[in-house]
Amino acid sequence: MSGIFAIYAFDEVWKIAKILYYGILSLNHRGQSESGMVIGPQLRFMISGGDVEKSYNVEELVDLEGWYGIGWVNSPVVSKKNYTTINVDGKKFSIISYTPIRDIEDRLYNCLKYCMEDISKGLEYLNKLCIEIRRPITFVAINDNEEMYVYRDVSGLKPLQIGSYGFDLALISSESCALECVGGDYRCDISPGCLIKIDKYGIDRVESGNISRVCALEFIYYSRLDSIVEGVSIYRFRRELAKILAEKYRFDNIDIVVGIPETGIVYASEFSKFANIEFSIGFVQTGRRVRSALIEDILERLIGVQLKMSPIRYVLSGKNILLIDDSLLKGVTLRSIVQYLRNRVGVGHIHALIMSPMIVRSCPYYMEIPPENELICANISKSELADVLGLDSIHFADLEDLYRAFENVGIDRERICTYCMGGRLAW
Amino acid sequence: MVEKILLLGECSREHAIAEAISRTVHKVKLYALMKHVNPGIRRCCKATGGDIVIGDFLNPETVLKVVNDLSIDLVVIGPEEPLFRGVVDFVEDKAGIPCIGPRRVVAQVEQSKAFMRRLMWKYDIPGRLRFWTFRSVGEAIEYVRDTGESVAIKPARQVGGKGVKVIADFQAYLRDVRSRVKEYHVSKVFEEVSKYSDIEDRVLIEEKVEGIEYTLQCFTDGINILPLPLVQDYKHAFEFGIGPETGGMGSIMDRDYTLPFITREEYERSVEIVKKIVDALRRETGIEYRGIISGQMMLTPIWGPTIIECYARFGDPEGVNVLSVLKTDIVDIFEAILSKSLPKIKLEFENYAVVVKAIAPAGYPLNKKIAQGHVVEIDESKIVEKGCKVYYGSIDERDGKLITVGSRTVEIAGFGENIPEASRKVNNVILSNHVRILNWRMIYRLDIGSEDSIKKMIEQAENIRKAYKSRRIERYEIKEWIPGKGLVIYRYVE
Repeated sequence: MSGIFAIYAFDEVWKIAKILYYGILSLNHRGQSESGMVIGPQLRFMISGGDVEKSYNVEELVDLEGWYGIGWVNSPVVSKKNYTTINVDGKKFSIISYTPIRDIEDRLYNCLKYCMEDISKGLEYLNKLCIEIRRPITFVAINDNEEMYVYRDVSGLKPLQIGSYGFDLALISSESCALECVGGDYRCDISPGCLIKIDKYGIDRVESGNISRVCALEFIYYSRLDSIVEGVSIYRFRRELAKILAEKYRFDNIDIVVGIPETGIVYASEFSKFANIEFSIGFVQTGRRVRSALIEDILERLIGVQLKMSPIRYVLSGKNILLIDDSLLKGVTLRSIVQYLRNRVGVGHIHALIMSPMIVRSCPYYMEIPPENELICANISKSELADVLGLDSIHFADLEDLYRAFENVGIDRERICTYCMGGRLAW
Repeated sequence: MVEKILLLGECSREHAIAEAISRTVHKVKLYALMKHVNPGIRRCCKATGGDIVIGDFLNPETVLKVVNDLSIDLVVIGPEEPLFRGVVDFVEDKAGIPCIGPRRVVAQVEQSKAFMRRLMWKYDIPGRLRFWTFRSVGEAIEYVRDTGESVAIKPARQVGGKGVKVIADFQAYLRDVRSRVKEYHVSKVFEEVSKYSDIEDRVLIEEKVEGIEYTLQCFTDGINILPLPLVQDYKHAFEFGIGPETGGMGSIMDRDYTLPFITREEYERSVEIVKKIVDALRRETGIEYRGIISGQMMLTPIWGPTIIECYARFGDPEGVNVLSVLKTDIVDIFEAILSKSLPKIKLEFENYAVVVKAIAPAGYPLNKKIAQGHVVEIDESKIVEKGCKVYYGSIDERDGKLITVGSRTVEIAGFGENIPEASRKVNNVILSNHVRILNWRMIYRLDIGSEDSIKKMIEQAENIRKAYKSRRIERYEIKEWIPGKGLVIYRYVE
């Protein structure tokens, strides 16, 4: 998992470092273990911490020279592996991908060489490489020759969009929220198997005519609520999913619906509208926003969870509640919340509704999912799950619910990858 | 009755005008004055028994000499610069020969953005924007710094479409990065405009609005206007609508006068605005505006149809869209302009959607030097076979070879039942390499006129419509507070 944001200014008067910073800041939810920037034509790598806000001196960035560059954020599964420098025919390239690339540098060398000769040829080789090693190598590369190459892999499993800022900047982003953040305009999702070359004198593109696959988790969990991905508002999709589950499950004797921050809150508020159960905010967060699912160390993760979830006793004490969360991976977060609510807050019945189907397999495409022996749904039978988590009951969306939600927003079920949920590998 | 027409100009727009004139049923000879040999215009002239003359059409003396030598009885001006140089005034006053093209004082509606904005405020014309003019770069920079408002910095005077920079500024946290760019552009605009001594205001800073742009071109005799179908042009140089501003890389026109994302009511309101500008020009200057006036409009969330700029001519490429399918005899229209009887003309067009796309050498628009001097090959018969027409632009015929001059080389017009169909025809021509710039990269935009882009614009227009309709009230004020300087109230009356 990573987030990528890139800028190309057509006028050298721009110093783009600070804009890059805001781009990756708004993509920080996509990776919190490492961040970085590389700015041309010097191409000096700046590798920094996973908390973007704390990792850069914004005042210094304002004066940093350079008018094109790439910024990124990484989660642990790809950290240190998905960026590199490659010299091709005397041109130095810096290249950033969603997936590891250090192990295929020699192959990428050839691809970049072809890209420089003729982008149609470059595209052909990149498409072949993706298929051969079964890896969605979506990347942005810049060189010291004032060129930027943007490639979205043949499957389209990794999102990538293009936008603009006035007559001055071309913008590339994982999600539209970063385009919005820097005041740019979303233009379109780059089509799968599309190679774009940007330089001062033009933008060339070659396409393969593929239809993009869609990672279900991008929509359920990873993307930000204000983003548009594959032309679909993430909010709209989550609302559809909540509606489908509200129609499917009937809960009696529930006083309030509470969402687990942060993603669960919107699901809970949308669910409450359709289920006609009162919605309340149940928790307040202390400190910076951390995606607890992205923390590897169990103790650190618990600290993260506890800081994130300071309960509002007035709302919760003595009530029967329905907890809503986006997904269930190891179950650590949910279990600790449930314990806390029962033992210290005095909550009555606690039911849980998980908006994704049960996640039982890790992802071959570098989505941040724990290994299978750590996934609770892969190891504990459905009948025992509620007991293990200390819940009165637990419910999940199933694949059919998910497909219907996608279809309601105009994405065909054949396009959706649900491998981690025990479904089909879409590519 | 007109017998000999002289056309000034040398690009695709003038080729389209020449072609329309060559279709006339009247016995008219067409001559054209240009700086380089445009083979398209030459062909149209020859077809009428006329010819081209090489010379500087920006120089009033040169134009006058050609008018006298060839006994011309009507001059048609294509581009704006001869208007600003007073060519019309010179020819009409010295030779008594009428022109299609406004006199200098009324051409200011394009030449000076400050003049146009002041006129709109003075005569209470709807669809106007707040603006501030500056004579010194210092004042302008101070203003940009003080307000941090979202503004468009423009040269107060037209400089061949160059220098218009719009820098949005909604994100306060990125203000320092952008202020620096803005300051840089304010200085650059100042430098450019200083080269001209003909107007006092140098830099114009204008309220920045966002929305959907479109162009309304009209014939006018100074009293009546004859509005043409709406055209939308695309200014970004590169694919996806990205990159530096150009004169226009393409333009789309639908059947039936409006566009898929502009309502009939909005079209009529746009016509009303342009009509009011023509009236205001007459009242302000005492001069009747004769020729073509175009409103570069934008459908904005504040006002709905709003004027961004005025052109004293056809747009390029927008002129090609309308003229390529004009069925009405354009010489009759010219006659009606001269006799102030435009209402008698009934406009007719072939029933097609028209999409025009420009092809330019790489280097255009920011580095035209490297874009010059390349050999071009055009297979015109193949282009016609594919249902398109070619209009020659910034191109020079030397020793039987076509050479790029640096700007848009040709424009290809495609015709269809609807915009996407017309667009596909043009793309087919471009991708089949029927226009080739030898050993040099070409830039063009395949995305213009696609189904997807039109769908997006329809959605965007719907949202804008909701916004402006909800605030359309009879009297409206915008209050602006400049810290340390005071409160300014702008009153709008509908």
